Amino acid sequence: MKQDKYIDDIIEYISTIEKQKISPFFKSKVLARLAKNTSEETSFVFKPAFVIAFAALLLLVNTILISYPISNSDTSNQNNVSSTEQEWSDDYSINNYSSIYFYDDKQ
Amino acid sequence: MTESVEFIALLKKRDDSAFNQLLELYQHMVYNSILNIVQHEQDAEDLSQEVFIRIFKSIDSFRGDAKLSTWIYRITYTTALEWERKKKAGKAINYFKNLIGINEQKDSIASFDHPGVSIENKEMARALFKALSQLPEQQRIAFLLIKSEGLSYQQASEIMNKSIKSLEGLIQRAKENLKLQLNNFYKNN
Repeated sequence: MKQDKYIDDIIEYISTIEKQKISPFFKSKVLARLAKNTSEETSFVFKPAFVIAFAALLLLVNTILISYPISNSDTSNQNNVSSTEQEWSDDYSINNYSSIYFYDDKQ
Repeated sequence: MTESVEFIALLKKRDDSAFNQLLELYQHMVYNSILNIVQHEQDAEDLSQEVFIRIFKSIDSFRGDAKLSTWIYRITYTTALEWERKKKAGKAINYFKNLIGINEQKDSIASFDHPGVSIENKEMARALFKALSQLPEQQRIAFLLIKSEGLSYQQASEIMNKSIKSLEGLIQRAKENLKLQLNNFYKNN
């Protein structure tokens, strides 16, 4: 009986606890945080996610622009070189392998 | 005044003086409500700031179906309970880290001394807050709204979006659970 009364008193004690006053700087802290949040919202361009995404996009575009012309020009260069060699050997009627073969055969 | 349509319209326009007035009126209420849940003064102040930031950002979604104070209470308790869930999740991770020995941080259970409690009642208040922290969320909120905030059953039922009958059930179960917890305290003292 005494125990029940004591426990009931503890439970009811919460209603007697004095309410606390928050720090006098609380209001200014909230207003400062709000001002900071508002300025962050306007400068979304500088958010890390945006910056990383933009950098990745820039890298991708650059890679595409750089790699395509090089591969095309490489192929055309190779074609030019081989066509020049062919033209030169045709002009002078030179077939390297056959010349050597006939020369050896005569020996 | 703060429940008036004009005042709410000013808040929606982000009027500085209206927001100042709102802060002035509700800062202590928000702080005390959170303090009872998180049981840590600095955390309670940080979370109170968070509550007002949320109010400011989401005031446009306030339709006026409930009282402004009811809406603020809901944001307050939601913020506090979210924080508590995160903290519990962090503790669980720490516990498993301790089990496999990769955590050097030891999880200490700190007892809470409410700043509004007199020295002679500190022991009793400590036991009460420890018992409170072990109650299920709904029972705890119901108990705090009625017993600590001193709200009527009608007001508390609006905040919790429950009928008065189910609120009475929650209070009843909260008291029973608290008694079970506090029995041990009585035996040890």
